[in-house]
Amino acid sequence: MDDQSILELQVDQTASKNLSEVSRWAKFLSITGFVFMGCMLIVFIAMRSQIASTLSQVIPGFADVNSLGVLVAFFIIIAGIVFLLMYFLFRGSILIKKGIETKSQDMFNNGLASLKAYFMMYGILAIIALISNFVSIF
Amino acid sequence: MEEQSQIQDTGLFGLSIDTTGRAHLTEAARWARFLAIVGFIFIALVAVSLIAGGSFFASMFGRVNQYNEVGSGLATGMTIALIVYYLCIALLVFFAYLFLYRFAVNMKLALQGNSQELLNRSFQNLKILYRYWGILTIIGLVFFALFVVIILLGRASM
Repeated sequence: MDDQSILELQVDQTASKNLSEVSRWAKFLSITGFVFMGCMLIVFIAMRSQIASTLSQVIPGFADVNSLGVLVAFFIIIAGIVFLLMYFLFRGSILIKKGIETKSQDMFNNGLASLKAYFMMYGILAIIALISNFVSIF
Repeated sequence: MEEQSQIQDTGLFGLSIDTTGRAHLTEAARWARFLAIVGFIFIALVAVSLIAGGSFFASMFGRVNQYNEVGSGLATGMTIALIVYYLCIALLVFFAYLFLYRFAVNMKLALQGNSQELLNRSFQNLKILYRYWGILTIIGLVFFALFVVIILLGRASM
């Protein structure tokens, strides 16, 4: 293993400086995302009856069968997706930073895994969005 | 010579991109590249439809304002301003996707060719990407705060 580590790519000073800054900004972005999500949730809960009555004027038949339930479920799904994305970003930023500070390879790798999960989830969401757009065109 | 020994030092005792990290970064770069390409295509479509649709909107505003000669010039100006505004936003987003694309491509090449220089360039682009989004977010938050303050002042003066 030691033999191989000399040949392997290193997280040298430049890389660790760049990654530290990545984690700082990523942490800021994820916390902003969490706060934004929380604010949206509060607004939604406070105004759910107004939202439902407005929507029932736009969409005929919205007022009947459990429409508020559908609305709540839809919102919870969206909130869950955004929360998960921000969680991956937050976890990645914390673990990469700690890994660099304590020189812990395990922590660093876990941080990279979170970064991977973040990009992967974003990609899957993009695929879903593309498919739904194509479906709505035809 | 001293620099070389320093690099070896960090290699033996510091962090490295081992097999696990390599697998994670390969996958991350693959998804990031896909996202960037989808983003480029989306931005191109938006730009084309803005430019092509501009004349349509202008004629629409013109028809609305045909009985109002003073307003027609204003409406055309507004349309052009709106198109320029959205093109600026498209340009801002384009740069974000450019940094993402550079991160992905440099990472892929670095892992394939075991190149430390490309790895560092890739991480540098990731840094620029997040800093860029962070600064845009701060600007957005400042505008949001200004908006809230203006609304509160407006209510207070009523």
